[in-house]
Amino acid sequence: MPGVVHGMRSYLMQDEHGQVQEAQSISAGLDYPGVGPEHSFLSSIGRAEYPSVNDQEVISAFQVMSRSEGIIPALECAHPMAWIIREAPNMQGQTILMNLSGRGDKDVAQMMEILDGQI
Amino acid sequence: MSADIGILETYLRNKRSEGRKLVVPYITGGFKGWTDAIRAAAANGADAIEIGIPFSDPVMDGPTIQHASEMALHNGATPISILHELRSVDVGIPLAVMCYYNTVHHAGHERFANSLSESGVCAAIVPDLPLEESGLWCAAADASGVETVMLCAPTAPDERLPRIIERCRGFVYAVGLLGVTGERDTLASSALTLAKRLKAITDIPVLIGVGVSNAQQAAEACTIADGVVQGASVMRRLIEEDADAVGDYIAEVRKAVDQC
Repeated sequence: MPGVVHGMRSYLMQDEHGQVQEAQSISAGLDYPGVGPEHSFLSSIGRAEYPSVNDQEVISAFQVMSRSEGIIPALECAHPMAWIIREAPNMQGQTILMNLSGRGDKDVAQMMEILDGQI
Repeated sequence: MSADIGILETYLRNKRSEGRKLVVPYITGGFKGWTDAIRAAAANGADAIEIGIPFSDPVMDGPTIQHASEMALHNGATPISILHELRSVDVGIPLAVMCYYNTVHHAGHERFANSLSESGVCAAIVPDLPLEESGLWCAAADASGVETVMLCAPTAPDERLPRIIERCRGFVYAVGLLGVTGERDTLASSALTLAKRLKAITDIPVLIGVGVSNAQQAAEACTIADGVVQGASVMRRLIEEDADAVGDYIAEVRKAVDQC
């Protein structure tokens, strides 16, 4: 449902009284109750869909991409990677384009904590 | 124009014309003892009361009012419950609400404006609604007889002040400093500068709010302004003590500004 917080009107996580609800994400950049106005618009006109992945899938995608491509993705970008890992097997014959928009050096310390003893 | 003047503005203008400085305490709705605090403030010399509708993201507020808002929400306060309780609060002075815009947006402009007027609230202060975005709300508020108090920042350029004042009802809220609500050691010089600029161009009551932290600072603000809004210093007393402490404090502020 649309709401207004931090000076913009867009889709907003809020309760039945308009109180903003706490967001939770493994990725600091996604830990926000609102959605950028451009994405809100693209969603509202049916131009884009916004599926979700869970934190465990993101952790796994972060590792897969680092190992297989030698590219450490930002945790934000590990989200689409996780979606691709999940969905690509069902998309034979189609082309998937992914925008890897941020690097994950910044997330390495957090990942070391999360993967403590598992690397 | 004069036919459009609402209850709050009429009341404040009348008080001012009697030579009285205007004292408007802010009280967070839904905080323990809030309705008693309203009664205590009214009984001890307040000219109007600003009631805060607690919001999850109070971007204009400092630690004291943030805390009060969190506690109120934790106690289950909602915009509806607060307005409902206000129906039974009749203290003989005008009541205004301060709320963030998502509360208004979520309810819907007309519905929210109607719910204010049905609860006996004369005016609304919506600090995160800028002038440029205020048209729809102001139209709904005007239609319901709710006065929309506009805020002026100390950084507002000269050309902007008259445009804000033109859209302002009740009183004009001169924001004392660049910052959030909360008590400071001294009254910011920006408060008096802004009040002077506003007094030079308008007849609507000019009240300084944000950073007016005690009776002495209130008196200093009233050397230029028509009055003050005080929030954090009021709420600290309600948080740490009780409604009686709020009443004592308002009496102290009243006495100080009466000597201006």
